[in-house]
Amino acid sequence: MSDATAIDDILDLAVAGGRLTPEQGLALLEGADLLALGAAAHAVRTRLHPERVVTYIVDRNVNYSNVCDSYCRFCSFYAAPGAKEGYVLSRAALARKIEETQALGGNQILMQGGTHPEWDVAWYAELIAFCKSFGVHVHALSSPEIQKIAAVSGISVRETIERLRAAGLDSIPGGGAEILTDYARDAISPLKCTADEWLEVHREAHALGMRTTATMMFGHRERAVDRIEHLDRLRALQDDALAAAGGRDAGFTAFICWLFQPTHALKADEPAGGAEYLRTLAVARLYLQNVRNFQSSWVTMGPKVGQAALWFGCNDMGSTMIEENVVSSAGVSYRMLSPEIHAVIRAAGFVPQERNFYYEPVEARFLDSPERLREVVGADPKNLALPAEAFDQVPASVAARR
Amino acid sequence: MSPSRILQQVLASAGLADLGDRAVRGARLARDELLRVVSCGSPLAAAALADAAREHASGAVVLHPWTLRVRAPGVPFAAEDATRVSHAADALGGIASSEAQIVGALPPDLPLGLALEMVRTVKVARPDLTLRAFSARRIDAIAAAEGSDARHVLGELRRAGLDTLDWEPGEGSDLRTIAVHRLAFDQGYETAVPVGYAKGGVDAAFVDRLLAVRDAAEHAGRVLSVVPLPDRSEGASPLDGTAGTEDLLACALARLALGHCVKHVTVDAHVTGHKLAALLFSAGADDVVGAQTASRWAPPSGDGPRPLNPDRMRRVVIEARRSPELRDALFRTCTASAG
Repeated sequence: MSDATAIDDILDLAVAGGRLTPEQGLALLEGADLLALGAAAHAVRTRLHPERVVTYIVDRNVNYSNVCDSYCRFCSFYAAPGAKEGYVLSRAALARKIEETQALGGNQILMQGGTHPEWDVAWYAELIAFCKSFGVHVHALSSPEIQKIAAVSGISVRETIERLRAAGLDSIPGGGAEILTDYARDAISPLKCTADEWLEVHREAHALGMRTTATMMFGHRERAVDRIEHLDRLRALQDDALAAAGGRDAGFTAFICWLFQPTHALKADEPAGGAEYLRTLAVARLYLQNVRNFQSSWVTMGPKVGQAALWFGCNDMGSTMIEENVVSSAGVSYRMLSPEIHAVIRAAGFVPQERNFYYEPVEARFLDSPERLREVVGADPKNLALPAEAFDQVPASVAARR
Repeated sequence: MSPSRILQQVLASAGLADLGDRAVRGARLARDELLRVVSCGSPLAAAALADAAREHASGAVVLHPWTLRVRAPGVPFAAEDATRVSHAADALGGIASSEAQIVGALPPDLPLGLALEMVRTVKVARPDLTLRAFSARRIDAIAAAEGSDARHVLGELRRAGLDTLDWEPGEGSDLRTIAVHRLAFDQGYETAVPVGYAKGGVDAAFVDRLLAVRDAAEHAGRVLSVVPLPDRSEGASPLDGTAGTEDLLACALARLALGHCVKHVTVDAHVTGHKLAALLFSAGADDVVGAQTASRWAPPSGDGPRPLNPDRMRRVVIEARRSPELRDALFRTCTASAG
């Protein structure tokens, strides 16, 4: 059998809903034609979502603090504990950000920070409860943060999640997954939680009936086999969640992958192009057929590759990103607002539909103009344009303005 | 090689199955066939056809120049000859590259004399490099300032040493661009011809502009490449700029309309960004500009916050499963030269 025939057979299997082996996934990642992968991924997407609709959500990435002791080699956002550029947003600043989001039609905040060496579950529960008091969906605290909170508090991961959930935590984002193999994590984030610990948080959350998202950041030091192992571990966890739910949708609501953005810390690595992103995205859609929704990562790839991704397995454009600080710290600053995201989806040949976290349709609320939103929110990586009063811990460069 | 089984199904669903075998052979498609591609509704189907035609023409090779950018306003062209040449040799010498390009904001009424001096200066400083400069629009502007015509301007620049014409964003959206390039062919130039389009403009009129280039190529045989050129650069508001799927369709149509008579389809990564460019290598493109080098007269620019260097460009090409080969301004494979 020729290589081309073997690839064709694997693609046929995937399109028919078959379950790929790791070897088959690797064969696709390394040897399949890019357009053939896109066609197969789009066929799977169309089977799961026959309607020609592409969804998106209006939300805001709020980074309550940049203080972090994980020291990931790829990250341009963090400040070490005690570093002069460390910040913690005040409650007043958080309130303003949430109220702005609501005024702009947002129904969710995605809130993440770093792994702080001292803050315990009581501190975070108070933070979550404050955000929840505004009535938004609180999608917050990635696995590494939750593992750190549990360690600082001396309690189990499950108890940590239970207490945060009781305070108002609605769902858990998939941040911090990077690549779920020890080989890759040792290379880029050796001090962050292990692959097993990342999965543990999501397993416990799923067991409690919470929904979470799954992510993958690739294009750094990992190998092709690491990408496949990452997908395999996510698929197995999702299998467990679906089995426990007895036929209901459960576990991960969505999968989002993006390319590593080069930074000062790993500048020897250069970014890949759209072909590599789309190749990995399409293989992920074929491999992870038990996760219903795939988001296009236009924030890192730009709206144009983001549009192409809608033909490579994605059924969702993710968030409008009213605010985003982490990726923009690495020099990537694509942003879109509701009118723009509608235009992008339509121009790619699909019908836009605003949604909530659970992928339920909601009525879209437009801004007057993109300029209006930029005026309100601005572009402020690391929140450094905020006044000193917006911080409980004021970064040195803001304090110096006084 | 024929498209894979899944792509044959995509072609069938898009009503383009009958074009598959012809695309593989690099056949000349008729206008109505190209219009069927425009209206097929599947970017993947259009790309699959174009990719088959690209493979027929170029195999796995993607060409790219390494461009020494000479920023015109920074060059003391008005200096005495000896000083000028000395300055040019100092500023441009010893820098590895495979072509030179005159860039920068030129005055709208640029006199022909100054344009000629720019060309001569660069050619004296770097005789080892082929030179790409002046868009069709600029040629018309020089002619207007001179009270002359484009044919005269092209002839004078040719005699001064200009090797080929350049293009600029927003160009090629009318037939005048193609007419200027036809005049250039008469003067002995070979050129890459831009065919522009705006948001929502990958349509029958775009196809007709491609067919005008085809007519020129079939008659003169001096079209090195066709450059599908969106009118807005990457980073423009999606409310104004073209969609990525439109860029993909435009690239595919360029290959399908011209593949039998023009060997190359060029992506301008300064305009599209290198991330989209990598995808367009699977939609008919086999050539990409955007790798540049810097000098005192050639500041880096383009492609967002990080300019492309040749190593980066090579990586983008290799990751797209293609083989990069360096070329000069006339699309001849070469090695880099430091002068």
